[in-house]
Amino acid sequence: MAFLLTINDVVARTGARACKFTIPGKELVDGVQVTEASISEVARSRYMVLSLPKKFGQFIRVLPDMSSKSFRHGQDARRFVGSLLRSPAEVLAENNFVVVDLQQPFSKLDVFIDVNTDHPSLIAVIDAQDSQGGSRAMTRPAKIPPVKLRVDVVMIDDNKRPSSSSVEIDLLLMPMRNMSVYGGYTAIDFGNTSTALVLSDANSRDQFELVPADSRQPGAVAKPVQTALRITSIRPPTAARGFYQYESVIGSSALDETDAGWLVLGAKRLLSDRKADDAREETVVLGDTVCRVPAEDPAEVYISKMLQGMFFHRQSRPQSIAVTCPTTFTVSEVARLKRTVARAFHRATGGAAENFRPEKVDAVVPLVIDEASAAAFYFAYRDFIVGPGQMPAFRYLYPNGLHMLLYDCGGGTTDLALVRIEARGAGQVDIHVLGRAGHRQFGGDFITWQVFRLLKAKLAALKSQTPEFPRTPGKIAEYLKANQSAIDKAVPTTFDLSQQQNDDAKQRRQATLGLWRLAESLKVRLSASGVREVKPTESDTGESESHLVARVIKLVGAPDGMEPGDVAEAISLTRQELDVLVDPEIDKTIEYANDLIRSCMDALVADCERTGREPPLEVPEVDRVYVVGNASRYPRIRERLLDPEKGLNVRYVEDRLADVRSEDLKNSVAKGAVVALRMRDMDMAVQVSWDTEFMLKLPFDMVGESLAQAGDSVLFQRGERYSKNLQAWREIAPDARSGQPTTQKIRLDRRWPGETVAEPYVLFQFEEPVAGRFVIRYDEEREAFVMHPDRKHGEDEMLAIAEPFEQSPYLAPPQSGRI
Amino acid sequence: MPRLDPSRCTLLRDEQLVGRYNAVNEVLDEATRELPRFADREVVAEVRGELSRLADVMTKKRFFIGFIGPSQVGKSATVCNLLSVDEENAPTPQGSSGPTTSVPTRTVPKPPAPGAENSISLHYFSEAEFLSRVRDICDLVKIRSDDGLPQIREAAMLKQQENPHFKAADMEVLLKLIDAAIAFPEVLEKEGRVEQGVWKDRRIYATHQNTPSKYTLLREVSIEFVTDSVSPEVEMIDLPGIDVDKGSDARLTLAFLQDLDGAFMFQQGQQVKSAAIAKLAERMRDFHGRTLGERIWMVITRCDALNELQTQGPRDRDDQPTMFCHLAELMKQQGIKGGNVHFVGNEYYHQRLKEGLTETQQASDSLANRYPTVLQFDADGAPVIPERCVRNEGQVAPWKQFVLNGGIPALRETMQTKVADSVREQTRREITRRLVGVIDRLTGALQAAEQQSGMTVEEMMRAARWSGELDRLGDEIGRDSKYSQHAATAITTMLGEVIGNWGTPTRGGLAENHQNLAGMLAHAGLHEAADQTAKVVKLVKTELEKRSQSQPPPKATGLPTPVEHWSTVAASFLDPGKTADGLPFRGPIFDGIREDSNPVTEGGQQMGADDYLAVMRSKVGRVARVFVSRLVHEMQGHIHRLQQRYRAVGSEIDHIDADQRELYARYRTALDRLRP
Repeated sequence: MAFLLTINDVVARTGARACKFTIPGKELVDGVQVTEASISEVARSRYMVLSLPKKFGQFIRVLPDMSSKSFRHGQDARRFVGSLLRSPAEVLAENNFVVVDLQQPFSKLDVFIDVNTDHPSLIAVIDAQDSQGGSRAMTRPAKIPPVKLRVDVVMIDDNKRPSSSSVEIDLLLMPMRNMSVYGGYTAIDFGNTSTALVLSDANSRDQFELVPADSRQPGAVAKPVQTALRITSIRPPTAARGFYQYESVIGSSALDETDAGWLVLGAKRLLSDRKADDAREETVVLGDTVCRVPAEDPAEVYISKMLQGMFFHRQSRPQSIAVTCPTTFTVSEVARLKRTVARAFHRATGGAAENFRPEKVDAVVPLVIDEASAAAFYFAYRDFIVGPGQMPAFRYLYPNGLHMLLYDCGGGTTDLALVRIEARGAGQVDIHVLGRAGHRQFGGDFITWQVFRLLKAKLAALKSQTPEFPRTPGKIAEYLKANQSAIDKAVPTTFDLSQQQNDDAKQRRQATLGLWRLAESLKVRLSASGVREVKPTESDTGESESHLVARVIKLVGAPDGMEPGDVAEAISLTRQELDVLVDPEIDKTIEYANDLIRSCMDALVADCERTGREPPLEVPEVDRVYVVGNASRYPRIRERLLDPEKGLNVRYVEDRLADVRSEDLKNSVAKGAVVALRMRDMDMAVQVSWDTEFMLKLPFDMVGESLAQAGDSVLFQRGERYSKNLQAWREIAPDARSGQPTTQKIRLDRRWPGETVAEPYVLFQFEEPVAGRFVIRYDEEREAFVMHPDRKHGEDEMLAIAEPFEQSPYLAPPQSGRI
Repeated sequence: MPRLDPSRCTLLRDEQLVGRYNAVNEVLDEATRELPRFADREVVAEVRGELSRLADVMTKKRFFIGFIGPSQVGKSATVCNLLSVDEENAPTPQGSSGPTTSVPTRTVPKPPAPGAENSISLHYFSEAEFLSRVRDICDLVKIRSDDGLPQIREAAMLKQQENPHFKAADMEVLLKLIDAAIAFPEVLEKEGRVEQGVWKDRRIYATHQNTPSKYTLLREVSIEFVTDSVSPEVEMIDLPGIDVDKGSDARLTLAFLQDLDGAFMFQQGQQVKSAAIAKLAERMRDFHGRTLGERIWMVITRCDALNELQTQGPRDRDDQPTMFCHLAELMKQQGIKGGNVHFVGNEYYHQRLKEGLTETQQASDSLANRYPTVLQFDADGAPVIPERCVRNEGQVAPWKQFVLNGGIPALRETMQTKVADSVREQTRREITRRLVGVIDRLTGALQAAEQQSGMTVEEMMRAARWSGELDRLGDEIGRDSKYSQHAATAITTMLGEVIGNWGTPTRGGLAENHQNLAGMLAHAGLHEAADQTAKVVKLVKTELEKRSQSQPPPKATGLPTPVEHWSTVAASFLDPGKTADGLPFRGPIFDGIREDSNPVTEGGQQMGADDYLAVMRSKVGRVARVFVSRLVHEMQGHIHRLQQRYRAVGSEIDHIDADQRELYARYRTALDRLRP
């Protein structure tokens, strides 16, 4: 009976399954000419040939766990087998081979066996089996006989006499079925910076699982996936209206390879803001080749990759998907997002493009919610809808509705939203986003960066290359600014991003990374309750801080006469030192939050005035404050928010600050969407309606840039409706000397609520330089901003449709080379 | 300002109001004559403008009531039934397959009298109005409008050829308008031609015709219609709907809204939509503000065609909204008065007439069988009201009227008396409010000037400084937790003890016991709140005393010091728990513990005792915070009012008539007496 290797988890379309096996020596030989004893001796020449029928070799790959110099495969192996075993041509043609050079004695063989479950041949086998069982057999294991792996061992002794052995090993692929339908609820939080795919099993109401969708390693640590797609190759469709096929990576890996392929970043960009009929295509440049692909393909491919991540980790596919989107999405973008997710699902599950039915969109994506509403809903659900007394209690407690402030301090940014939740009748909850704001530069990375700056400065001071580090925390910011160059000279961590191969740049990059990890570790310890000061320590688990200090010292040079241990002992960091650097930015977020509260509450009062509704005796106030996001663990944030003088302008703020469990600090947006889907599907006697009004209005100010007279003039104000009335005029001056037009590109910037600085938003690009009076307006039919001369037939004469501005990719501080 | 003759204000029927208006004007005229520096104050010019605008409203001849709704909603059928005329004799033509009204049509009811006949007058565009209309449509269809008509026509034709589906209906309207203007140039006169029309041709005038004619150039049609079914004080204006595919019609309607004093908004029972109503109401609100809610009536047509799902909702889903819920929500959102709704079934009404039933006779069995979903009667013959209708106060009586006789008689009654009376009442309210605003502004300015007239410049500067001091104090009261947190905590703690002493309720008895506990908490909370009010009020007084010592307040006759002011407002408003308008706030807030929707019985959930007690603890904490926030808000308001007074005393120092305190006081008192 042949030796049996069982490969589990072979489920169609769930990615590559890799298993490692150890085959004992006695199972590798037949014991006739070559015995177990003879392979344990040194041989003059000994080879093992592993043969797998080609029809299986398309999706099964067998590779020995040894140096690549010790074995050969592919054509090289085939040629070798032809000469060594003198196998007939048809045998050579029908099999795949791996030839292992085994001169040294061996007693076992370690092999990796990969099964590509996405391969059409494997899928065809499974589908064929399924089709026999009809539709009910979609997830039934297929009865497939084991695949025969033939093992030939050929030895040539000192007298050049050959001896050989031939055995077969059975590879049993299990369970060889199609994916089952996931019994729980699935949501994708499609964010501008990162995207999360969250699952919740049907029977565990409070359990949520984040899928490491960009990883194909079983048991990978789950975290949201960076909203970035890198396309490395494109194959046009084989049939009319078929899918383009892409090779691509998503997430942080997409940013790793800085040269290869075509990078697309951000939810908005992925869904392409260009909507004109003549711009239904996206340009992708791969090397010297310019490809024109359907405009929605990047988003579709990104989401299908996310879904394939779920297929890999859960071996099941969602029945339907709730999707969240940035609160800045417009109605048309939401519609496009729904369609894109539905198509991505169709693509990921192997459907043909021509079979995609638009009418299925609502079934696949029954729910799209903006992220602020989703997070608010999650907490409303957790604290009220399933909390003590449930909905009747909520109505009793908040007869005039509840105002919730969400303060979400994430990795890169802090987002603020003020949401109103109102129970209308016993079974109806209305959720309205009253306003949103945010601080684009403050988050966990900023805090780590300040720790990094302190460590770097203290190291430099130890090296006596900078003035003494100030003892008064109040002077630290000034000290760091004044001595920035000297500090970097003593502890070089800035580098030129383009210098990939330069040794000095490499060394600096490594020093930055080491110091950053040390900063992260110290920040986490400083965030613990009651801790006022930390020093690098040894650690039983994970990477030791002392070790990191040693590594950095090795790269940047040790202070005179000091061993790494002395340096670790000499460096300490206090909360006070860090707080003075972080406070100004926290205070900014509070300022933005207070502005948001004031404007929203005033608007509620004005609304009563306007409609003539009798205002309730209750003064409109924020009733609950939810501080979420991983970075909010840093205690200073809470301290500042609660500060009576400079904190949140929320009366009784300590009473109104909600308890947020550690596991709820992250991913509340995706959880909200999952819960909403659960509520929709399960009859929970409560209906939720979402505010869609904000989708009809500009979420930011639009300001002019690079226009002849424009400084930071506001062209369109936040809150204005997307309509044909959204129009502004600008005079574009010709060159002062020549009088000739010189301006060909005009950029508009956007300024988010609370921000003082605008960021590039859209670009109007004319075919030739222009001058004169131009109109910039929102075109309802194109659903885009357009610009054209302000004269008769100006639109027909020359029209530029706003293109999304290409943003440089977001790089985490240690990757930026600037810290 | 000229005096208003009451005979010119017949519509208002309020001689007292006209008299008050004239009296305010007279006082103002005299005051500005006698006090020349006061006359130069900005406020005087501003109130004169407002009085002039009020005079326009008060001398209106008729109330303009819009009839607005989507096409095919049954608007014309309802009007026919309302006026008890058949389709042939209706003032406005009835639609059958598409939108009918393309020209706003005014129907002026004329009481029946010997020799009285229906008549029709045609009002054409003036040259300027025509060009404005063309420009408006050009804007809609994205054609430049600064050329001559032939060029616009050419551009429109070109655009139509390139994209025949692009705003086709609007493009057609534009082309017809231009063609008509080219073919009948004499019709467009500078002032706008008016001519008598022929009664029988009225359908031709008011609807979109296939070929351009001179009637294409009509701005509006005015009909005098002999009827006693509608109050002669009301002019009915039939406007094109705003949700037909003609943006040009929608613009026409929206532009008309500012002239309307009220409106009947038609919606089909099967499709009660909020978007169109919201769009219309928002525009009207700009002109009527808070009185809009009583100027709009919803007319829900085709109620006889409603099915069970629309009236009762799904049997197994209590939370699914029905037509009644949609309507209630819509009316709530727009602040439309609860009872301002009519349910109408024109077909049912016709059937009743066919069967010879009078308006008070119950529906026959055959009719009940014909409309089984909506015509349901109990054993006593009284209409059965759908449970979802009962939930919405204000819908029950209108539904009963519909079941009893199709809803038309009730609608007629509204048109005959209620509309005019209600709009009249709202107009009076609005005028009174605005007149009080004028009086407030003038008395405020006179009071400040009176005060200033007897003060030294030094004292006035002191008032200005104290205005800033009060501004800061107001902010501190709002922000500093000592004015709020302690009081809220004290009330919460005390009520928490009441809950603790109450014990643990048995699982089955929660519903009964809730009223008992809630009552106790409301009572105890009220007492504790009074004690806390006294403490917080005293805190503010102490603060004012302290600041008065470091910076003496201004001294002037009739101008209270901050401490005096505070003592007065504390005794009159804060201690008794009243708002600045004199309405109680402490009692109603604590009554909420007992009166807000019952957490135990609502929704039918089984709540455990622990959960119940947790909910009650949250509730008392919340009520305490709501109360204290209101108290703080009121305190800030009182401080703010004194601050405003000090600020007024400290400003416009150049516009004071010296030593005229008595004169200022006299005019101020005279105006005060004119308050309603």
